[in-house]
Amino acid sequence: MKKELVAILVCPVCKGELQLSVTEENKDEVVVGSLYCAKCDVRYPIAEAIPNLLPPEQRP
Amino acid sequence: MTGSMADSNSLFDDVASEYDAWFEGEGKLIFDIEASALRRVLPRLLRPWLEVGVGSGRFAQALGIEIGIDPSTRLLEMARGRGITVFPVRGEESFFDEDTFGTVFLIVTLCFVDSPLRVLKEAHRILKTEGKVVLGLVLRESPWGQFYRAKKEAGHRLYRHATFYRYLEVDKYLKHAGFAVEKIVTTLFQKPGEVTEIETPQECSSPEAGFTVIVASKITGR
Repeated sequence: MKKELVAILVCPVCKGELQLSVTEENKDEVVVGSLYCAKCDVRYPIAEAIPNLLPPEQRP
Repeated sequence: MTGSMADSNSLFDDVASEYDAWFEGEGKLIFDIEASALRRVLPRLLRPWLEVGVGSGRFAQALGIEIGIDPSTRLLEMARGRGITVFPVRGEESFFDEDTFGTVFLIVTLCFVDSPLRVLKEAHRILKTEGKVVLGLVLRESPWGQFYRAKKEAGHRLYRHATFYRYLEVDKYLKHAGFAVEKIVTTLFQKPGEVTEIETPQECSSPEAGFTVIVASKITGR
C-alpha cells in the first residue's frame, strides 16, 4: 500500500482517522504494517502490501 | 467486475483463473467492444478513479483506473499484478473518506451485489461534489440479459447469484442514491453467439444493446 493512501482512508467503523505503522516497506509501498484507529482501539493489518479494512467482526 | 454477495469470496476465488482467461479467449472481442464504449465516456471524468468490483483488473488496466475493491482475494492478486491498488472488501463497506474520488466505476458489478442501493449510496458518499458514477450494465431487457438469465435459471455457478436489472430499476436506484443520469452509451448489438466484429458505440439508450454505459452525476445537497 502506498503511504499517501492513508490520507483517503478512514476507520470502517467510526470513520475516524487511521494511523499508519510500517513494519516492512520497499521503495514503492508499505509491505507489512497496520492502520490503527485510536478511537476504536482497533488495528487493521497490512500484509503483502494489501490492507485489510474489514471491520473486526467480519474478519474470518 | 465481480460483486459483493455474502459468499462471493469463495465463489469468484474458485473460478478466478477461468474467469480471467475469458478476457483473452472467447470473451476478448466482447471485452474490446465493452471497453470501447467505456472509453467513450472517459474524457473529462475527474480523478482519482475507483472501480468497485475490480475483479482481476482487466477493465481497470484498460481504462486507467488506479484503485479497485473486490471481495475476491485471488482476483485481487491478478489486479495488483496489473498495477491496480487494491483493497479486499465489498462494495457496501465504507473505509474511504468522503469527497475522495472524482469517478466511481461499477462495471458488470451491480448485478452481483447484495444491495445496489447501499453500494450506490456509498459511492455517493465517497465522491467529490462534481463526481460521477459510471455503470457498465447488462440490462435485463436486452438479448444478452435474457441470455445470462437463462444461464442463471439453469444454475450456472456464477450467474445463479446474479440479478439483472431493467433500465428503469437502475434509474430508480440512482435517483434514490442521489444521482442524475447524464449520459448513456450503448454497444454489443450483436447477439450472443454471433459476435464477430468490433462495434462503434452509440450515444443513445436501446433495449437491443447487450452492454449499456450510464454516466450519472452526483446531485448536490444530498
